[in-house]
Amino acid sequence: MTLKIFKLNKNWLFWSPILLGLLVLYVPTYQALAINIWSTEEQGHGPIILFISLFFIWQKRAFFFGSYNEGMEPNKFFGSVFLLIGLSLYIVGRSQGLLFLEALSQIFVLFSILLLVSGVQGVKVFWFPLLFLVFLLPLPASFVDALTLPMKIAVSNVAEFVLYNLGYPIARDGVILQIGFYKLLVADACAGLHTVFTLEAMGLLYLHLIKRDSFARNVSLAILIVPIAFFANVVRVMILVLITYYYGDEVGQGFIHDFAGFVLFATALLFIIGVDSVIHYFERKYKKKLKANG
Amino acid sequence: MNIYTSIVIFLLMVLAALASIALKPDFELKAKEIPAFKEIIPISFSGWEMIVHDYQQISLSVEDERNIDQPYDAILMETFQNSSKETIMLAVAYGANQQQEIKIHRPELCYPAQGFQVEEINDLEYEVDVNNKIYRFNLTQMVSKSRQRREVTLYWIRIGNMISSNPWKIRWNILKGGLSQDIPDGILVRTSQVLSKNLSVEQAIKMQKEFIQNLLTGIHEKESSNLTLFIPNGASNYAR
Repeated sequence: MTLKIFKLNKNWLFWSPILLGLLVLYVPTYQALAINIWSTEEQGHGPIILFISLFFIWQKRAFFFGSYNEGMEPNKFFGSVFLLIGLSLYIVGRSQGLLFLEALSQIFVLFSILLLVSGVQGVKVFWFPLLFLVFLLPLPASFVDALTLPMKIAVSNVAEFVLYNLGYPIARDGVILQIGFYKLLVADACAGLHTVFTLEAMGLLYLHLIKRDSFARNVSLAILIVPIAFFANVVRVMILVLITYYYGDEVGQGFIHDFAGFVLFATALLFIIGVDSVIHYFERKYKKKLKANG
Repeated sequence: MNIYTSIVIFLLMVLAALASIALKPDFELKAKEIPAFKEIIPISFSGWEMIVHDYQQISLSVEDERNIDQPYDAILMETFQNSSKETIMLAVAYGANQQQEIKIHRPELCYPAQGFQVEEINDLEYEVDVNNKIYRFNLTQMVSKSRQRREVTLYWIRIGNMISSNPWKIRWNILKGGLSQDIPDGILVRTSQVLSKNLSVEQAIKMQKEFIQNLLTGIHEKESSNLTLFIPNGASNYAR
């Protein structure tokens, strides 16, 4: 009786040095990410992203062991170029404490290995997990802070505008909303840039899972997720304001901690499915018209 | 698939891992002297006197960030008063090893983190005459407001041998230093005043500019070698 999984065949011999090399490079990186980044509220989605990426790689495991990748043409030149770029990014990032570069290098390195082994066709097999790893990148604090404040102001602005026109006694001062006797500060976590990234990741996952064949539709929806994330934040802030107005401060604060995130994602998901259906409808109509004409 | 390809890839990866360890700056190597601001900054100079005041200064770091909470090795926060009872708050923060993610916090980030809204921020060219030597560098001027008060702040940050308000230039400077085993130190000097009906933005800026001139002169008079802690020699190409 032989244990099939431990059989040393050519594939194992080929892939184990690469796997070992990846572990040498990136186990410390993930350690640093886990300690410094994933423990924060804003980027707590990191492990989920990693898990999803690994899952999609696992799904295509036949690539590593079967004859699945035979007949694919390696691209040695670009593979080497990207490997050198990736490793340089790694060296600079790791030695100088630039976690962003370090995490970015991973995408380059994986990309280059696929090119070296099986060229563009190999990259195509794994395009989704490669793209998904982008959401693992820890954004530099200065970048996040620069974009978060205007977004917070805009979110509070729109929420105030809508509620005011619905006849509520609401006023705004910067990012502080006042309704009735209550004052609410729109915090970073309420409207942060991170929610946009998390939602973008979720949206892409949704698109990938339902496997739309239309490229144009994938791209347009991926872009539309940004305004969708914005309005989902507006809805969340409005719900929060209204709950505080009707049920008091305590209920509102409880709501923040228990349900606000859930509301955000539920709203966004509804928006995404809605927009997706609308695009789908127009696309079908357009295609019908093409057929009728052609 | 060729086994040699995978072995070459493996070796390159190990090489990169080793290189990243070798290029890691050695912080122990060049232990820098931590400045004792209590001795460096004079208690009184040109009509200004250090006083005990209960104004709460805006903290020097950004709250709720882990590991980079305390990027400083030495801090001084004092209030000075002149003969007409006008006050200026001075905050000085020093970090011996400036790294990409562990470096001096810019006031336009710490103020909002503490409930302030930045109304206005811009660079202004500054020229200071210390001991008949002219130093030129840019100050950043910031007007910010919270629910309780409005503040006018002037500040500059020296990282290594440069004063710049451009975050990319600073990052690049730190990166260059880090790769050549020469980690720059950094200092933030910040003056601020709470605005009132007796103090306009323009008056505050003028007063703080003069204050900085007097402060630097006072530091120089006390111990001339300490001046380079605050402004790099490079800022002075204009010996008079």
